[in-house]
Amino acid sequence: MFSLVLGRLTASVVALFGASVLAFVVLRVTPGDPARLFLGPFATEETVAELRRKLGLEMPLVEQYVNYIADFLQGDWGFSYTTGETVAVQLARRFPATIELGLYAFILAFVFAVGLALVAAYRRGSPSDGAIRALSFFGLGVPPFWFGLIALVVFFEQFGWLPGPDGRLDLARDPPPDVTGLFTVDALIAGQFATLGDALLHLVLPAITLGLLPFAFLLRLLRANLLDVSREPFITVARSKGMSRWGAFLKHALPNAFLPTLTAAGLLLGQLLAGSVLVEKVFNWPGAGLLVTDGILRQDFSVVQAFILLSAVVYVVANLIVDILTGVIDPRVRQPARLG
Amino acid sequence: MKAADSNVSGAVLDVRNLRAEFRSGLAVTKAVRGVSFAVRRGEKVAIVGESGCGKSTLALAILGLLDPPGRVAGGEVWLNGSDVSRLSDRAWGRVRGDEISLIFQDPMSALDPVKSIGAQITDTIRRHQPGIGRARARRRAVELLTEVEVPAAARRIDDYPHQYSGGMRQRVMIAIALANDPDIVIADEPTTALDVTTQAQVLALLDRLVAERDVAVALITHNLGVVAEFCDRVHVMYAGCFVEQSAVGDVFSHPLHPYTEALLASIPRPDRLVEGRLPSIPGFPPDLARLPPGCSFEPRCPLGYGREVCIEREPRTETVGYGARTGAAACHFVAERST
Amino acid sequence: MTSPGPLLRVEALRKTFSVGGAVMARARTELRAVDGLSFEIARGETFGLVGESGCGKSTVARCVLRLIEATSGHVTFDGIELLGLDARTMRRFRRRMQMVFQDTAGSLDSRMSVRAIVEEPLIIHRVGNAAARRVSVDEMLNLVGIHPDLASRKPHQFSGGQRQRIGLARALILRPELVVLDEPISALDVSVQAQVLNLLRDLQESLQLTYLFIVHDLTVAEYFCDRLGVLYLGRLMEIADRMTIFRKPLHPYTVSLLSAVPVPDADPARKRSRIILSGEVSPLGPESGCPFQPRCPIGKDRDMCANQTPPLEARGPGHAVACHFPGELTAP
Repeated sequence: MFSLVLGRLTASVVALFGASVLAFVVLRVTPGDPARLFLGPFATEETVAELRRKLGLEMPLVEQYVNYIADFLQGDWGFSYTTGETVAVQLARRFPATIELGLYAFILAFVFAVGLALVAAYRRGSPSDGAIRALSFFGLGVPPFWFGLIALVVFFEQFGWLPGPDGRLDLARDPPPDVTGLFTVDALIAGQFATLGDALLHLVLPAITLGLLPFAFLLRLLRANLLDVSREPFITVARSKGMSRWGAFLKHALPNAFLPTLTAAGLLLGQLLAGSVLVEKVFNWPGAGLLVTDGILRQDFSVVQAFILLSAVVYVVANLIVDILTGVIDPRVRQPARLG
Repeated sequence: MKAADSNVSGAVLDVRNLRAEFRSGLAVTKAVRGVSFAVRRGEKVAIVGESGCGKSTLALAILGLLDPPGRVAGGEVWLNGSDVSRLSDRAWGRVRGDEISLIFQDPMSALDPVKSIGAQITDTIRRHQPGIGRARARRRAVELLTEVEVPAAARRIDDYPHQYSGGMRQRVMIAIALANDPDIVIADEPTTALDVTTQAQVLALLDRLVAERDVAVALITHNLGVVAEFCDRVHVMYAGCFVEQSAVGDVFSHPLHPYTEALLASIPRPDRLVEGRLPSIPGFPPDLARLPPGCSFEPRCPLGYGREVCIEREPRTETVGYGARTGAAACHFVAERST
Repeated sequence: MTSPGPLLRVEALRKTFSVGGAVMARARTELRAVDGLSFEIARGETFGLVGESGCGKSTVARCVLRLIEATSGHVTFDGIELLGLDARTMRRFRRRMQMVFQDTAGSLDSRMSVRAIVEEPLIIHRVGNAAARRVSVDEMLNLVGIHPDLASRKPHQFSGGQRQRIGLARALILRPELVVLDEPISALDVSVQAQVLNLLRDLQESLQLTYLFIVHDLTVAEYFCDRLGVLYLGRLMEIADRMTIFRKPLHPYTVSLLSAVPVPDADPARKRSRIILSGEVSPLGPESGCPFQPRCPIGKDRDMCANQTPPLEARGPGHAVACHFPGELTAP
């Protein structure tokens, strides 16, 4: 057990290192000069050169990298010279929105994927199975921003059932007192049910849009695993004990099919974070994704870099947790067979 | 052998003209083609055949566990005097594990890997004995494990299947099958995956437990030696039909069907050292989706190969009796052979 | 080119695996899969290695062919020591020794046609041109009883028995001298087993083959092999010719094995008098003493058996037994 965790941790650290180098180098070598962008097209060469020196852009890459990492680890994530604030402050302010969105997207994706995968696998070959599989193809193939826009057009513009791309709450409404940063949770804590309702309504379309891809992915994977497991002899044995077909499916097939699916769940969290970049833009959701999109357009190195690094951390940590979790849940790993 | 419309007296299990098939597109594979037999209380009956003869499908069909694309195409199954062949899945839930249970062949994959051994035994106990509390069910499970000779049962009951060896897992399967004192157990190749010495242990165990509880057993196997050691009567299955039905005492010395005889001759035995070539059955078992109109064994039959009557007509099961010996075989020449 | 004497000689072969324990945690234990094995196979002979799961017979087979590297010992083929040869030289020897596997489905690449499978060894060892290879393959397929017209099909389109024949064809196409058969019939139907055994016999005669036959069924070994060795936990318990093993087995394990095989004969007297061993094989085995001792009907309570490892000693012409009390346990 211990060796498992240690091994994974080591691998994680290596992965993080690689990600940070990659992020750093890629941003530095792409064309475009942030100093010039900041100063505008009329600034003189000397002023631009001076700013470049001030920003440390003239130092050798390796030195820049080392400085950056040293700063990062101390909490200094850079200074966003387009907005005048430190990156850390900006991200801290925006991240809760992304977390809230991601959380609901994940819950929706998960609940529906499990439910529909069970139905599809149980009724294999039937029309309902076909329909569910078609749905998963749709989810996998549809670009999230396209889906988001269409959803807005239909549900907001056409029918007016759901709010438009105006962020997390109606413009006239005040956010609840800040406890976690998640509006729904905070509203619940404060007892502001009207605010809670509004926040939830605003979450519907973005969460569905963001969760569509993970949902489709999970659905296909779980369905395939369920079908594999349901062919195993122990399912027949369970039924020979008197268990109904559905009961055996739920109590024996699902837990066994879940293990390999869990490993993929770590990937999903990464997908959610990546997807948030586009989805937040479509819905004007004031999260970290939107911050990054703007940062990219303005060639704001620090913000983009910090986001990439942060994403890498989230991704790696999520996978680490999933790996450990799988090891803990699977009795074959938890209690290895003794010899003799 | 028995008239189809009379209930065999004292029979725990009475299978009448059971037919099962698999449909895949337009192709129909007839896995079980009109099988009839009965098992009385305490009797041990063998169903012998090679792979592809339909014996595992037969077991599933009897238990109502045949899932699409398989289906029961006809016939009846009577258990303890009631017709169970048309039961709903729900009603079967009360019968399976209680009156009739199954011992599966591959101990490595017959247990749920993520549930403890104890959980898998207690779940069948509590399913069929409602009202029995957790503690009592657990005690009963430990008793059962001890009965099937799992050492240190009280400690090992919480282990997981991967911590048990193949032989021990098979004992667990026996414990699960006998947990609710069924009237009949269907054992599908229970020792095939085990070492010879473990096989001997497990068979001896099964023999003892079954005798103690007066349970009927339908043992499905391809191993004629196991049949001799364990069973009272034997049905030989080939291409979906029973081609011979005899008492164990007779079938080895006087096999009625050419297939049985050829099978017996082709296996090396521990008590006789064969020299030279082994008499072998030429060819291989037929494709159940494309069966010939006549006898399905004819292409390989030393007696019937090329004979018109064998090619054209499927033989009916004929009973023969002389002296104390009665048996039946599906062969056109059974009368000749039984003299 | 060929030396007199046995085609294959195995001396003090040892293979240990390290198991259990992570790098930093508890100590690794050693699994002695093969624990000092010695035997010889003469040209044209069929030698059987018999044992149940965990006895190491498959490991021995793989060590002989250097598919696994032995920990220590000697494997001499036609007078040449094989262990320690470099890859290039070993490659030349591989032409002369081939293996047929138990798993008919898994050991044949399901994406290749049968023709490609059987032809592959010729291509690897650069034998002949395409036309010559085609002739060779057809000839071989005929020899094993597969019609060459079917050669373009894939393995899964054949039955188990036919796949085993294909595996044989592949192994024999290079005309090896030694063929190692690892449980070649265990996965086959009973009626097909006899066919394949007969085929193996015919091929041995026509191609002058020497067989190392690995099997768990002692009855099959007695029928098919000229001489056989009974293995338990990586050590030879008894080695003799088939008649002797059949008539006068001396080791309690051999006797128990024979007794455990169910006889297709309805003699009721037999039913009551079988030797049933208790317990199961413990793969780690005891450190000292006879490996069979914990389960041995006559050695269970004997100190000598628990503490002193019995050496393999001759007890008759060509008959050796590793037991302190050979012959004491007789068949009931």
